[in-house]
Amino acid sequence: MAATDILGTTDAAHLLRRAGFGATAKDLAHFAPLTRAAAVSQLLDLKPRRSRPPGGNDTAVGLAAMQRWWLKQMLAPKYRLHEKLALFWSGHFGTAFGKTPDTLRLARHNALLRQLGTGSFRTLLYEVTRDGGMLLFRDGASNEQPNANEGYAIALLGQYALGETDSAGAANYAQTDVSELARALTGYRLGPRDQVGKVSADAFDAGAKHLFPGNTAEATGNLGVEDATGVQFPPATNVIDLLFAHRDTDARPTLARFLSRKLFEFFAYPAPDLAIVDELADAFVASGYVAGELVRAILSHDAFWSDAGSTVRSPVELALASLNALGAKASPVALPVALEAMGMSLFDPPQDGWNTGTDWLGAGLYLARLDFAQALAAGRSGRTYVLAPKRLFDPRATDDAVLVDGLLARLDVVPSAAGRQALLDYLAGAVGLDPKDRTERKLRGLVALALSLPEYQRH
Amino acid sequence: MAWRVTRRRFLGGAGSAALVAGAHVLGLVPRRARAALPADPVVVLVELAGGNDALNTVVPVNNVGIPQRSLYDFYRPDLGIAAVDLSATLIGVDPVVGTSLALHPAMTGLVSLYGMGKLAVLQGVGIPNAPFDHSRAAAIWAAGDPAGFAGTGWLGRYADGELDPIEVPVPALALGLRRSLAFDSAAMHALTAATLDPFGLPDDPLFPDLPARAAAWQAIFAADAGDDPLGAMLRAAGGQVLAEQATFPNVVFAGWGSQLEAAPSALHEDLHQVVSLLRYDQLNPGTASGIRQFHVVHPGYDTHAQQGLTDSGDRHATLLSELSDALSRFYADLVALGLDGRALVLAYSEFGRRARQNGVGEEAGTDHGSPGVVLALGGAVVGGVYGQMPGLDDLDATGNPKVLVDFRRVWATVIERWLGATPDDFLPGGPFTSIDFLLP
Repeated sequence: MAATDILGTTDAAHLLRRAGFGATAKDLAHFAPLTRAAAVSQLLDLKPRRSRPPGGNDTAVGLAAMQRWWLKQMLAPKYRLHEKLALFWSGHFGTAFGKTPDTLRLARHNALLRQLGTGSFRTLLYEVTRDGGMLLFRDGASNEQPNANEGYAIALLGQYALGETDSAGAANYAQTDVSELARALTGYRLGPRDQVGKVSADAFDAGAKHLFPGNTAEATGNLGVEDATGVQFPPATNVIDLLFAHRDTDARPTLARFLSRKLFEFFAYPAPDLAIVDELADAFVASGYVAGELVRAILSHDAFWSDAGSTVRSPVELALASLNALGAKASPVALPVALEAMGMSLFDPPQDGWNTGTDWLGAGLYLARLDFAQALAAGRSGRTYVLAPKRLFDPRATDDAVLVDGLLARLDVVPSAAGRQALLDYLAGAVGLDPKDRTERKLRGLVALALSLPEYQRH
Repeated sequence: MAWRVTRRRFLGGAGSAALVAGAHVLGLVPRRARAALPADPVVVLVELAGGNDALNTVVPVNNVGIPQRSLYDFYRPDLGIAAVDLSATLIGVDPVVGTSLALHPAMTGLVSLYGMGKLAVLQGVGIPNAPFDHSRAAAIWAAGDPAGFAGTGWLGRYADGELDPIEVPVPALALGLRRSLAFDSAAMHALTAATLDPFGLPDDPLFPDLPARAAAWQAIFAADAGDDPLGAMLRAAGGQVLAEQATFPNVVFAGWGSQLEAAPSALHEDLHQVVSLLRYDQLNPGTASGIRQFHVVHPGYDTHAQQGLTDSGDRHATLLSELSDALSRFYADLVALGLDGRALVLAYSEFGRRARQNGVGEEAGTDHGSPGVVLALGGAVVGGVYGQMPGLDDLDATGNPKVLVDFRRVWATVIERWLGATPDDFLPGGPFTSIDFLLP
């Protein structure tokens, strides 16, 4: 399929499933007549939003309010891709309430991810480096000469920019690189809660450092990020730029490959062929490392549109796609609680990022998905969920297969033959209910079962 | 996946010459058959995630043998724990050089278990040439292989090789959001759950037809996934939810007198679930879960800064206090249930931390380093201090004490002397000499 072909409903659903949080019937009608390129552009080419979650000073109230706020943003149709990318960055950087219970700083950090998330990755790395939330989260604010601490340095290398190992399995850096980089990152002090941190000349180690010996990115001298007046170091001695100059054992740009793979895996499926990663990395480099252009390259790649690979939906993807597809509403209180039970507490990811792929699959977490499915299907109260089965099912349908297939189509899921049969059997009451009983209750039961299908847990 | 004779079958007749001879006839390698080994040994892995600072967990008190205390004071002007504060937590001397040692002052509970001879302190344990990345190092511990994780964990391989999948369909449980790589196996039957309480299928007064839905779930999860590994894993996870309905929803957690019930930390809660399940299995052999390997995670040890006493508390002391208190209560529960001889707890961390503190004053912390300390607790443990505290007079190029005990020796000891199997079958790079914290 070419970029100029019309999507149709199936591809529109595929796009919104992977690049957003699922689709309402209205979304599908809107996107189906668009070309692939136009659809991607409509999702991506928007002026970045400056909005920031309500932080407040009361941490306990603050976190809940922030979670509600973010879910609302994700459910708003226009910025769905931008919000999904912000979700990616929140896991990428791993900044968590549990370690940094300063909601105002976390809110500012989150706004940064939203505002800069589609722009230059270099700018994002620089802003994150001096961001107060990050300075607390990775202990950068305690990093002073002469006794540098390596907390932020090792995260910057291994989690944010290069990855621990390259495609050939070779380490991307040595312990000496961690300690030298830590020295270059000394001196940052927290600013006021709503402002960036600044380098203090006293705390900065201005001595000579030696980074990445033997690599294209090798540099010596007084390396750093910025001076006490906020002027950035020139690229030859700026450690942020050196990360972009780093090459892996195949002499390929390490950072571009690392981020291309990670972002592709987030949007599409795990372990893509290296050839795909390299195509994306080339586009990323050619764009001058604009994250939005990397996203465009991913969303324009045939591999993204194929069903060749698949991964497990995150809880947020599952929950919001369900609400969208069923035209259901969630109470702002119930939804964050359900997400937490499924392993995804917004603003509080595990330090090394959200679970991916099969790590969402533990039996305990699957049980939480069954719980969510049933609570949503049962929803008749504004305190939990509101779902109106009558709006989902054709009241004139007399054939069970029409009801079941209609629901499956609405949920955009193709179950196994045995799974579909189980739904039919349930509806027909072959397992003990009155075969004529098509009460609302039973239709809700059918929804609960459909939402718990294994095929529905993946995209 | 070929499983051999099970421990239960094999050891069920321990002492019976006929059985041992029978093993020879069948061409099986006879495993050490000891009356002291429990029938279904339990292993509880407690992972201190983030890199526990070993040097402030087991602290040198004096300079006997080597000037360990003076160097400790030199490297840790702010984070060092004063010798006078260690008088209540002394645990004896280093068996090799004779330096007096103490546990962190917050670890009073474990010190009394040490006094009872139930706690072994294994010093200098680590990965040779450890990577200082959390995930890589943790994966190496789980794999039991310094080359890294390649699909199976050390206990997963043991389960594949030694446990009968019919008798023990689910050998292992990881509590938390992520599966334990240590349990990954060819059969992939370990269970992951953030909590067992509750673990019942959702029921709702609106839906009186739970049996009908349960039957539908059964059919859905039993469906053949064909050639689709992800589909198969999804079905397996759903199938586990249903399979465990016979057990977990019936487990009594509250009110049976557990010391862990008034849980002040998530670690207490996790261990409370473990011991409640062990109790359930003990009382209900007919519907027992049969789970005998557990993995719980105690996070927060990545103390790059503000590790010690600050205005907002004492991070490392709080962690070690939780650990010590939770393990002590866990052990007390085991004793009360008569299960202390059946369970072995191993607390370990992916790596230790640097000898020299970073920062100054309240800001001081420690960076990723090596090696670590492993704590082994259980009724069968031979208490004491093992190995040698790595000398602070002999740091490597990264400023770290040297690894003196390959971490695989700990796993090998568990396989050989606790699980009754042959370590070389499950750990690459052997043979490894067992350590005497368990009897041969």
